[in-house]
Amino acid sequence: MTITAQTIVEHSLLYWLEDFQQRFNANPRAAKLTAGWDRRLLVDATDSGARYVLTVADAVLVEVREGGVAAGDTDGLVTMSADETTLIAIFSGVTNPSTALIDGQLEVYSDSRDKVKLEALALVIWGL
Amino acid sequence: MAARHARLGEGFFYVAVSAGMAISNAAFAMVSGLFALVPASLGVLALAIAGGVCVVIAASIGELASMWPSSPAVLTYFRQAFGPRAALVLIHLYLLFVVTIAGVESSSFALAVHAVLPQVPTVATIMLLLAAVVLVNLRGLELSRRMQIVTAFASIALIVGFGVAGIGARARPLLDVPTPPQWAGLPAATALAVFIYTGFEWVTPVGLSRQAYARRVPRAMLIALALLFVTYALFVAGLGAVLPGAALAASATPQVTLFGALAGKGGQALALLLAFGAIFSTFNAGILGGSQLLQAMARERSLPAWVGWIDLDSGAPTGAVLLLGGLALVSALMVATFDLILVAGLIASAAICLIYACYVGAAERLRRVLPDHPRPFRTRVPVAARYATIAAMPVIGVASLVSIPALARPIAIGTAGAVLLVAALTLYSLRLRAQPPVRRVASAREGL
Repeated sequence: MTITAQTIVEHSLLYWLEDFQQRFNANPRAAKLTAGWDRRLLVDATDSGARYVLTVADAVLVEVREGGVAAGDTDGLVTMSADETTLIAIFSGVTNPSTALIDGQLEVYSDSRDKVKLEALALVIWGL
Repeated sequence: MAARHARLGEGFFYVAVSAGMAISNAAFAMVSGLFALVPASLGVLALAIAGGVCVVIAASIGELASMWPSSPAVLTYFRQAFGPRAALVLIHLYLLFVVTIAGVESSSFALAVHAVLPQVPTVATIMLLLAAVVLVNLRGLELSRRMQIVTAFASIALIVGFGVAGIGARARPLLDVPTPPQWAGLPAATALAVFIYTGFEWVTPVGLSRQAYARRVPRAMLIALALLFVTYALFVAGLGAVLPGAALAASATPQVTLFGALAGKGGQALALLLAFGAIFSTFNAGILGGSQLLQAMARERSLPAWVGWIDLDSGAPTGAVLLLGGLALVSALMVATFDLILVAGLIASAAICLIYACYVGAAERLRRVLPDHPRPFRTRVPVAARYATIAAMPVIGVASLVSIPALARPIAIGTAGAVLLVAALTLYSLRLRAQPPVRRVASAREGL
């Protein structure tokens, strides 16, 4: 599907997360990049309250699950918080997550290396 | 109970990052600089004044960080407050400061190694160190949180321990009453002391949750500053109690001198360990943080595209790490070859005074420009003190530049060079931005 402004707004955040999952798993570069990088990405929409957990294990994005994580369960957790429109723009490949971070639209809570990894993922998946 | 332990551990981590960045070999060299300007008693006073000023700055930075949690600090705050052009000037100044500090830190470390192991040449240490730092960053290795906490607190314990031992030894009168002419060195000593605290703000991008920015991160900076004041004040007092000021002013490695004077070879070995701990904690965060800044600038075409090259197999910011490592090497070799530690330190002090004034100014301006933007943390420092800090910091910075008449010429040349470089880099960035964009993916793959 060609991504246009119209197709982006027509679909939900969950749709774009699942689209991201397909792109991730179909991309050998993403697999190489995430070898040994087992993480859970908590995607937190600050305005709508929608929360999803994306699980990366053995270089595969194995699951996109609705809901959050238990309090204190922070091992291997990377949290991305923004309003839903920004998150859709990021996971549809329209906005670079690092640019959104600098512009103050996105918050990422993780180790520094995880932020670097997310930027590289944006590059291999969308060429951003 | 487990949640309380986790919060406590998180708090320790923030304090360790904030204090750990300020425990550096460059800071030890600047402690020597204090003795070149003032006696120990005024050195402690300068540390107290600078500590107070840094508390004002930290509170404003805490407010900025709570507005944009986890953002790459300087880039986001200055752009939001002053607009893209003014921010570009400040970011280039900041990058120049980072490169200068990397040079001072590397050569101070090399001198510490050389002081303990005279057979090891300083140039060889610098080259080995920076090669190792670049490799570690290209491999994507990072100190664990636990190791960062251990390294920072062990370093503090060592400095405090030897400072107290020095005070206890009392080979010389403790904290002499300064003579009237000695007071003239206080403003410049305060600028150097500000430099000694520099790095406390590097904790702002590492918060682990939004809630952390409402209290824990700002509070960690304040605790770290208090801890750093106690640590360095005891160290300066201990140095002054054991060794004559002239000898300390002539040494760029006062920790090796003090530890050796108090505990012989064992003390020197501990000083070497401290030098390693200091460089690990500063370069661990400094090179990665600096390279992320460079990479972000390359992405928005303020720097050439190759600076933004990423190794698509490991995700390492290859272009930025190589550029920063290369610049740090040039800076370190210049500092070591021409014996410029104090000159570079004084120029860097002036730069950081200006940048810190801009942090406080940014927080004030944003209160007017974005009054409704959420601020989970607000500085409680009185407005008059905040504005006084904005006005005083550039004055303190200039005072540091004119503090040592014997160094007037190299400092004037270095300052003029820095101003020209920042102006040239800013113009270059503006020209780059004016050019039509090039697809970033192409440049990234070319770099593989």
